[in-house]
Parts: sequence; C-alpha cells; structure tokens
Amino acid sequence: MTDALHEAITQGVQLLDAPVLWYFAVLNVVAGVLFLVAAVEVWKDWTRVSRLHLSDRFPSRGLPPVSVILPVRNEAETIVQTVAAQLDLRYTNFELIVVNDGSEDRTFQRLREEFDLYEVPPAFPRKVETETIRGYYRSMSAGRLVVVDKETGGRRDSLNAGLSAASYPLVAAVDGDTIVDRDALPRLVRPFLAREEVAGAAGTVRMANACRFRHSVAVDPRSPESLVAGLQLPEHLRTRLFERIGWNALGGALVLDGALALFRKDLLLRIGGYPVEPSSGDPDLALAVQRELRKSDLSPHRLAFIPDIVAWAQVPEQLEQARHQRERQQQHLVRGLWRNWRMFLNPRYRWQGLLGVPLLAARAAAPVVEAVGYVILLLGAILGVLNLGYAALLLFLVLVFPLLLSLWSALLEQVTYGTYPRQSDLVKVLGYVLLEPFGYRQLDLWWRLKGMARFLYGGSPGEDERENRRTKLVSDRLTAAYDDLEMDARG
Amino acid sequence: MPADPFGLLIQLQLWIVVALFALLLWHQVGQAWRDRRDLVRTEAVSEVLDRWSLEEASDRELLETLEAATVHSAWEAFQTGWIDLSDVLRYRLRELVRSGGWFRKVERSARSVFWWRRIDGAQILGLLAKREDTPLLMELLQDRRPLVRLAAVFASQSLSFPELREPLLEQAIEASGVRRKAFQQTLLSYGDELIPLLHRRLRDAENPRELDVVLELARTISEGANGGDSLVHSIVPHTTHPDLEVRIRAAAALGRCEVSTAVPILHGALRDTAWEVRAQAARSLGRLGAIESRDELRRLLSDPHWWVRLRAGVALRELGRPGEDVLRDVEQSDDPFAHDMSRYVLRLDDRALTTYEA
Repeated sequence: MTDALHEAITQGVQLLDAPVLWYFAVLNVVAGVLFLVAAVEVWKDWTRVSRLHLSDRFPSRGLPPVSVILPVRNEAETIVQTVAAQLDLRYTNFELIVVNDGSEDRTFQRLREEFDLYEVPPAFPRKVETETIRGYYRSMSAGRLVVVDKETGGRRDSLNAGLSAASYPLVAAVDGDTIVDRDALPRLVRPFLAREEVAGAAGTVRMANACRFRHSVAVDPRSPESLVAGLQLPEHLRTRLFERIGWNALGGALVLDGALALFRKDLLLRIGGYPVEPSSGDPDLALAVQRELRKSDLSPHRLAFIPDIVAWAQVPEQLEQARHQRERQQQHLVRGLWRNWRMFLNPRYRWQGLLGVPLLAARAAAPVVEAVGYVILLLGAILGVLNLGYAALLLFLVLVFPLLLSLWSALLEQVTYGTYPRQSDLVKVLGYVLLEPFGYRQLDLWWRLKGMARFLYGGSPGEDERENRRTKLVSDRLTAAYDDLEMDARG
Repeated sequence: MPADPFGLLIQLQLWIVVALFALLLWHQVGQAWRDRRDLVRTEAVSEVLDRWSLEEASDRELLETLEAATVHSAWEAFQTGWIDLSDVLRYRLRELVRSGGWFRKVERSARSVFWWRRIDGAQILGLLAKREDTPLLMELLQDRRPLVRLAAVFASQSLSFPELREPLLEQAIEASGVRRKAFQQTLLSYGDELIPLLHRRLRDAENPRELDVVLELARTISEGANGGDSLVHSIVPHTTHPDLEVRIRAAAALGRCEVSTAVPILHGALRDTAWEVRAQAARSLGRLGAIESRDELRRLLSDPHWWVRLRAGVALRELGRPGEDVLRDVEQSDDPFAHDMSRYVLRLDDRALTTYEA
C-alpha cells in the first residue's frame, strides 16, 4: 500500500471514529431514557390498571362491540381452522368478518360448506371504495360470522372492504399467520375505556415457537428451543416490548404490530380507510394513521400500546427464513420513514415528529453506522493505528449496553408478566441474551444492510417464502386448536 | 479521544443501567412484599366477613380487621364476599363501617392525590355508599383522570342514586364514542326514572352532541318503558333540527315510541332533504307497523336514493299483507325505480329480511 493511501485511510479512520461513537452514545441514552420511562409505565400498568379488571367489572353489554376483520386468499387448507379459532375469542360482543380476496382455490367453497353460508343483501352503504364485491354471506351455524366475497385487490383492499361491512365502532384486523390470544379483545379495549382520544391500540405479540396452545391460550408457554428463534428473543423484548411501552408513556406508539391492532372505525373511515397494509413490526401503519389523523384535524388522538399479550406468532427457526424476515423488516422500516418524511422534526406531530420519527430514522441508519464502526476497527487493526480506547467504547456502545438492556428486559418481563413460568426457560432466555451480541447481531446487521440496499435499488420483500411458512406453521398450530374445539363440542 | 461531553454520555448510560436494575430490584422486592401484605390482609378481611355474616364474629372484630387493611385489600375482599350477603346484612355493614373510623379512610382514599387510590375509593363506594356520600361520588365523576371517572361510573351503576343521574349524563355527553356507550349503559340502569331528566334535556338542549346522547337514550328507554311514550312530544321538535345527526336520531327514537302521534311526524320526516333522515323515517314506520303509512311509503319507492327506496320497501314488507299488496301493485307500475325495488324486496326471504330489519 502506498504511503499516500495509507495516510488517507488513517485520516479517514480517525475522522470517522468519533462520529460513530457519538451516534451510538446518543442513541443509547435515548433508548435508556425510554426504558426508564417504560419501567415506570410497567409498574403503573401492572400494579394498577390491570388490577382494575375492566372487563370483569363492566356489564358485558357495556363493553364496546368489536368487528374483527380477517382477509384471506388461497387458504383452503387452513381456512376452517383459522375461522373456528377466531370465532372462539373470549368476548361477549364481536363479529368476525372474513374477506375472501378473490381466492383461486377452494377457500370460499370450504367456508360455504363448513359454516353453512347463505347470501344476504348488503344492509349498509359502501363507505370505502374497493374492488367489486361479489356477495355478502352470513352463517346458519355461526351467528357472529360474516363473509365478504370480492375480486382480488390485495390485503389493504380487503381490509377496507371489511371496514365498510363492519357494524361495530371498533375494528381489528387480524392475520392468518397469527394466533390471537383468546383474551385479546378485552385487553385491547382497555385503552379506549381508560382514556379519551385513543384512535387505536395494539398489544404485545409473543413468540409462539415451542408453545402449546389450547383454545388460543398458551397453556404451556416455553421459550424457543431453536437457537435461531431464541436469538431473536432479546431484540423482541427490547424493541417490541419495553421500548414501545416507553413511547406509549410519552405520547403514543410509533410502531404497532399489525398482527392485531384495534382502531376506531369512525376515525379510520374519516381518513379513507386503512392507509397502508398492516404488517408486523413496522412503523408504516402507525405513522400513516397519525399523519392522516393530523391532516384531518383529528389530533390529539393517540395510538396506545399495552404490554399485555394479545397474540402469538411464529418467528423463523431457520437462518434463511430469518434473513428474509430481517431484510423485509428493514425495507418496511425505511419505506415507512420515507413515506412519512414530513413528520421528521415537525412540531405539528409533537413527540412523534420531534423525537419518535428521528429516533426511528436513527435506528434505520444504525446498521450502516455500525458497519462503518466495524470497518474502522478492522482497518485500524490492519494499519496498526487501532485505538484500543475506541475499540472498547465501540464494543460497549453496540454490544454491551444493548446486552444490559436485554438482560434487564428479560428479568423485568419475568417478574411482571412472567410469560415463561419455568426456571429452565428463564435460564434459556438469559442464555440467549448473553449469546445474541456475539454472532447473531452481526448477522442481523448484514441482513439489514442488504434490506436497505434492496429498498434503495427497488427489490421486492419476497412474499413467497412467507406464504409457504405460513401455511405449514399455521396449519400445525390451528389444527391443534381446532381439534380442541371439536373435542369440547363433543363433550 | 473525545472530551467530557462524550464521557458524560457514557457515564449517563452506566447510571441508566444502574437505575434500571435498582428499579427492577425495588419492584421485585418491594412489589412482592406489598402483594404479600395485601393478600394477607385481603384474606383476613374475607375470613372475618364470612364469619361476621354467620354471626360468628363480632362487629368490633370486623372493624379492627378493616382498620388494619388498606382500602384496596378491603375492596378485594368485599367484591367477592358482597354477593353472599343478604340485603339486611349489607345495610348493617354500611351502617357499621361508619360507626368506626374506617370509612374516613375510604373518604381519604377517594380524595387522595394518587389516582389509583381514588379508584380504590370509588370502587368501595360502589358497595358501601349511602345517599349522603353523593357529593363525594360527584367529585369522582368529575375527576380529571378518565379511569377514575370510569370507576365512579361503575360505582354509580350499583347505587342508582337519583342525584347522580345528571352528572352521569354530563359524563356521557363529554365522553368520546367508545366510552360514551359505557356511560349510557349505566344511565339505562335507572330505567323509567330517567324519563323526567330526558324530558328536560330534550326540551332545553341545543348542542347536537348533547342531543345525540339524549336521543339515543330516549330511543332505548322508550322501548317497553312506562311513560316512554310521553317522550314523543319532547322528541318531535328535534325532527326539524338543523343538524343532520340529530334529525336521524330523532327519527330513530320515534320508531321506538309506540304511539300513534309519532306516525304523522315521521311522515313529515319522509320529506326531509337528507336521504339519511328519509331512510331512517321509513325504517321507523316499518318498525311501528304503521299501516296508515302505506301511501307515503309507496311514494318513497320512487325516491332518487337507493337506500331510501330500500328502506321504504322493507318497511312495506314489515306491514304484512297490506304492505305486500302495495309492493305487488307497484311491481306492475311503469316507474323503473319503484318497479325494481318492489321486485327486489318481494323476493327477499325471511333471513335476508331479518338482516335489513336488524
């Protein structure tokens, strides 16, 4: 290497090392403050609000009725089990609207046969424009069930068709991928009763891997057995649970798990229906709803996040699946931020605009900065200009501090919500927390970088993989749930 | 290496971690201790309450046990034990807790600076309150915390004190859609006693939001309530209110008042400029089974709006044979709108008709 090049690289390394450290130092402090806020919020929720037992205290007819919308397409194999499981939700007053999005297999025929459907006229005006509706159906055997048969238009189009057909003031979109907890609805309505201006609410979606279910309730919740799934747990606890609790305390959720989110129907209609397709773990839906509410002068309606478990979802157990998911999530994150760039540092959006969106943007860019940090380390070592202090600080900021937050999250989760009652599971969870920063995190970094590159160069998120996984995993889970229902029905 | 500000950030992170773990420890140790303490006290109160109800424990023993318990643990014990107490025992208990100092604890809790204690106070007042506690309940109904107000609403539901009707109605008017439903349910528990209040509000209210709530209550109360029909005269003026939603609600409410005086008013609403009002009026006439409305509903089969024509057609079906005769007659007419709708409605089976009537 020539002296000039050596000198140039050395100067580059020395120029960049401080900004990299500052980047993570600030990000970590903000995350840490969020966690402190979350700690207080968890205490408040756990010790006070949960104990109010709103759903027990309210007369059942006083609880707000909910329309649950389930869009389906080409799910003949699993549709009966999926619908049966959703009909078994423990809530007095709800309807299930299954929207058949132009399935090309026997999805609709299976529904018709199993639930004894009969056609009904549309007893309401269409409120959101969607693809052509072929017919509306009710069931002779399941009074809560409504089926909307329509031309193919995509998931968002189907949700909007369901929204038009919904009779009740609150609507929830569910996903065929997800096992909705039987007690999800009474938990999700709590924010609507506890506060005034709530536009939507979502709860925690936990990992279904290795858990055993009965009637959509995890009767034997276990920590994941697969290493790949287990290594995703620490990040899940950090970002999907406690960080969201922190945001909730500061002014509302920035990211809602699209697997099960409850919205006020009137507000969704006023903003023209679902603005984007809900998908798991990305900010698109929450940001889009906030933006549209603000445009329609419907603020300060907030989006609430509750720490209670409302659903269970399978996470990838193979590296290849995990890679696809991470790449897709990073694309969704960047896309969501790109679509909502107007909210960035915009005081009109209060906390979300001034702090939330910038933090999300920093998170989105973190893989790049972290990669630069590692490159600096490597170059420094190669060129013999490695600053040990820098190396130690970088490792503390990107590995040790998040590890400590994960450890804290795992322990707090255990003492409050106690999802995994067995000691052996807690030990496994702690093991995953300690292992995650060494190897898996770096893989995750690489995947996220690829996801960003794909977004920038216009690649697709790869839905086929998801479809295959969904069919197999949901089929297993829900066959078991359906068998339980059948056994109970036979007494 | 960067200087102090950076070092400060690093220190801050370390302190945050220390604080988080300290909070965790505090929560684990402190909360666990509090939970155990509360459980012991709750069990103690439950046990003494059981024995007291069987006259195996004295009044004094019960009061002493309550004194040692927090309001929250007493509430936990009462809410399970209350259902087993007879009315006589409940009355005795209400008197008893006032004879000692324990009830002052409840009052202090209801006025605490901590909202969760105010909730405890509200909940226990729902069981033990007497008419003289109404001012305290009214304070709780106007609390700045929505959750406290909600707890006060729960309490009011079980007490049904007349003085609380108006504050509850105010809460229902101010609440947003989802919470409003909950408050309205509480008001409906007053049954016929609510009617005089509704009369007054229907007469005096001008705010559409208030009328929306009151008319919805009137609509629900009118069905089967004694004196519900008298609400007709108070509802009628609102069928010409400038606000569309108010007119719709008024038309819907009249559909539940099973008196003949509602019918001509609804005929007037069939000429409203808004299709939603015309449709609702048709629906209400069908619900009332107003055979004298045949001609008016027939006219509406030619309405330019599909939903109005549909509601008129369904209403005619609901009138039975006379209405069906009209539909068959119109089916032969030259008017394409009326002809199509009559044909459509006549071919609806009972299940489909039920969907529309719901």
